[in-house]
Amino acid sequence: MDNPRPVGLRVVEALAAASMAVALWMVLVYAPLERTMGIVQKVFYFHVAANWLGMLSFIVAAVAAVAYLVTRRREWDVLEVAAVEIGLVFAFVGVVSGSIWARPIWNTWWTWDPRLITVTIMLLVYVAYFMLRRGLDDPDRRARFGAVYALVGLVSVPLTFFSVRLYRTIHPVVVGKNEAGAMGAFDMVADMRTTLFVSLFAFTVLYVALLWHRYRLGRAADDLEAQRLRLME
Amino acid sequence: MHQTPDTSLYFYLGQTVILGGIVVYIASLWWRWRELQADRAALHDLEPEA
Repeated sequence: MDNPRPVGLRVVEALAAASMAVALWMVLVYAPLERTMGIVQKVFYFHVAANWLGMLSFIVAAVAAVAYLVTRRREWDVLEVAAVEIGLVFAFVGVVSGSIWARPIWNTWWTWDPRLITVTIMLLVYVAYFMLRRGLDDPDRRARFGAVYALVGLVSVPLTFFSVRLYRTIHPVVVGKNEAGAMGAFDMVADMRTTLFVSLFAFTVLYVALLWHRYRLGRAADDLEAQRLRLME
Repeated sequence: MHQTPDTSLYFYLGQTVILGGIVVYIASLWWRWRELQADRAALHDLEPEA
């Protein structure tokens, strides 16, 4: 291969694989069984981690968008696309796993609860990001419009996060569950909290590895396109 | 006495969706790298000799 992986990326990959293995073991073996919901409650550890990464990734995309608009350097545009793509993957598996958890707990796969509505809006906003980009042929225009859209789209992230606090909802509140109006919360014992934090750590390291890979792919695609154009001249 | 329900089917389904989604995404990255390498090789063959 022409582009060998840098040492830093190999280290992150190894750390991601090891921490994901530990997190999986903790979810399957270490974390105690919740009495009311049974084992399906354990979906929560990876469900929360996946949704956390979805939101984090959209924030990373917005930061890259600002950096692009200020510097007009292609690297930031590539990072922004990478972040939106990975954010969509994690947000999507987060929603689907939540729906699977809801079937035995809420007795339905889906309900139009405020959290579920806002997360659907967030997903659609970022799917539309790629539709917008595909509709623009000029690379500079595509990058500029994409950056502005990624910034505007960020509004859907806090809206989704705070929806369980702002509106009446049956979705459990994990962060700030003692606040007034936080419904559907369940008490986590220490072992559950440890498992959640290890899962969050493992997914975050995995995210860094994936983002790095996707960024390299985007840069390599850019280089190839430039080479192709040079050859055509 | 409280009896904990058996919800294992939904648990394994949920875990499979999350981990499966990540594996599929990693596979898509690998596939795109492979395509890129093939395109690069094809382009290299077209380049005139220096």
